[in-house]
Amino acid sequence: MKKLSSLLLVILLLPAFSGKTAAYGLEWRGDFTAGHRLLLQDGNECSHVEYRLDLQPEARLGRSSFTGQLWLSSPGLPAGKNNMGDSEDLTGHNAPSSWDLEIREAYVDLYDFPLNGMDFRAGRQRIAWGAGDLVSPTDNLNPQDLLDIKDFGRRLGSDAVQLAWYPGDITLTAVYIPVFTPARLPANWLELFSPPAPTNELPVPLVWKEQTNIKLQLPSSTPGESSAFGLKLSGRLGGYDLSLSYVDGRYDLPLVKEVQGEFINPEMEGVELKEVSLFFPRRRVLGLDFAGELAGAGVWAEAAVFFPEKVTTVTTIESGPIPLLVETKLLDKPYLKYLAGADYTFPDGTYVNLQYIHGFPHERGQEDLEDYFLFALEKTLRHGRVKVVPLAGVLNIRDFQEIKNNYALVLAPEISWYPVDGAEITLGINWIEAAGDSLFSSFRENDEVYLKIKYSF
Amino acid sequence: MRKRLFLLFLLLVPGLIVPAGAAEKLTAGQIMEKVDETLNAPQDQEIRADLIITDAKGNESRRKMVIWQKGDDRRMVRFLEPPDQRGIAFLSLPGEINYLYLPAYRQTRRIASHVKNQKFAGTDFTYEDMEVKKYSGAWQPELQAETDDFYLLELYPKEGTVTDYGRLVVQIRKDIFFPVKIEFYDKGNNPYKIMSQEKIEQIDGYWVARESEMKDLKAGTKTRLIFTEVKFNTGLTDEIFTERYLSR
Repeated sequence: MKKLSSLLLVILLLPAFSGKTAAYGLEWRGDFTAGHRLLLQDGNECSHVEYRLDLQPEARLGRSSFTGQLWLSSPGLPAGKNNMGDSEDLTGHNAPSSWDLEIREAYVDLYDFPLNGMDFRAGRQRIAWGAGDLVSPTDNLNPQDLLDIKDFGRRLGSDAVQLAWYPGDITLTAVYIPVFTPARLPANWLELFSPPAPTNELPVPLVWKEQTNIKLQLPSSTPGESSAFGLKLSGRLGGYDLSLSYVDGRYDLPLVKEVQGEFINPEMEGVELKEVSLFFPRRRVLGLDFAGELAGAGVWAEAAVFFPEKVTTVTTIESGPIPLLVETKLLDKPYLKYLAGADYTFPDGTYVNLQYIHGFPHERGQEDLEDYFLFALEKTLRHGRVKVVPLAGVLNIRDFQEIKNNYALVLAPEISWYPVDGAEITLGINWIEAAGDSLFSSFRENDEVYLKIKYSF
Repeated sequence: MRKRLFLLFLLLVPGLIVPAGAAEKLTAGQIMEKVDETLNAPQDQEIRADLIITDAKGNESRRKMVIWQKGDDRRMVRFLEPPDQRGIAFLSLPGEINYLYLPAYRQTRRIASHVKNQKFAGTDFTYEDMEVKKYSGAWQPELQAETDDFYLLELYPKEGTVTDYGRLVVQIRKDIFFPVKIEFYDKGNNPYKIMSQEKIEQIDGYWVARESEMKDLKAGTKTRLIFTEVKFNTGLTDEIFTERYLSR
């Protein structure tokens, strides 16, 4: 009912805003996207349906402005996969097809405030730091939005204040986020991002069960516990853009703090988890990134040293009158994530982009970091009316010593057609070949073909 | 200020301009320098423009943009329409430093020179064409022909000039040192594009082509650039030509 009220509110307010557009300098733009994905296995079952109306209001008044982004979207699952199992699910305003209204961004900019040469921004905002494509080890202020895991690189806006100071050729940016927001996760997040559990010290595997009680411990809403801040110094040196950044905040994905379980059988072949407490440890990140040009090609690189809060997990296993207690250090040492990339456009318009990444955003701790090679080959045809991406994807290697059993290859070729200005029709495939356990391996049975139609207005 | 007064004096006394070309034999380099002086004479420029792109089948699409230029080495271009391109901005700075702001990603990206040969937002102008022009600095001119009304120069890239073009053939009006037609050849010396400048008129004492057309001979497409509003010397601040302003 609350969602419906919000939806009605937007629908009612839109004409009112448009009527006053001229008077207040308010402008709206946006786009509508309809996307369907079909599995190539399992009888071509529909795996994802999304309808999204993206509205972006913008208002300017002298040396200030307002920028927003609202999403009105369907949840992304076909009705048959939407946990509908009861006849009551067919009743009510949100059934059988529900819509969500979300404020992705809404912020005010005050230019030359509080002093000349300073810009102040307050509100929900995307703070995109780093030079990498899709993934940036130094981009650590906004929580990840992993609801649609295949739309990788999405981040949630953070409710923050930002002050940028421009003394000469350098920029000093300070960000303060008063309240912690965790990442948004897909329904099957435990399968995908199973939080690092204390298996190292235990000779037996831990078994997650459907009935495992998961307790989430969010930090208290005090500034000391919940807030995050970031500082960035950027400038140009020798033709290259350089940034040095520092972030003090919390991981947006949870880690295991306490575990309670019992042996699954008298032979003690495993521990069934009864209760798992998750929390979001603090971490400080010192980052460096650069972008520039080398022999005509665009080049960029980043490195970020993570200094995690020391995390010791306590595992309590019921075993007779005296429970077995095991303490495991999950995070205790600094670790380094980095990437390097290059792109080039050949005279015939063929565009190539390559990027090597050591450590994806969800990976933590030196032992957890894996290697990824991102690649893309694009060509625009027919005066920009057609874009062909014959080769794009990711190669993930977990163990260089034994590649054939520890890799994932994702190929995502697609073709886009722009029949008229503002309209885009895209047809593509997500094809995954993998061996071993990795994030992408979880999707190896989910090869998909997708069709997306987008109209911008 | 002294330079402006001198230019104004020249323009007010046309008799001084036309004979200047006729009386003394100018070298190709001197002609090119005078072209640069004409094109970059204003201290700053603010131009609102419509772009009409016509594809090989005759279908048209339109863009609107605003161009700010200061001196002869800084330029900012921002798209106003269509909606899916509104806010896309391009900043050209001295030393081949270019930035692109993409509002959808809230991110400013440095652009390397390999992008220069790419069409700018679907038009027939490339990123290189959108950069501030100072021909004499980047091109070696040779005088090919001279008529009563025009010079015909052939330009070859100087060493160190990053360009997608092998040579340019420029037709220049002798009376005002204004290029009216430029033929672009690729590095294989094949005809690539032709730009013609039309409706050349004086605004606030500065020569401007109100309309120009870029034809892509290979693709069979063309883009017409129409200046709808032109302002000179409004006192544009240096702040406009920064990454800070790019994302506003």
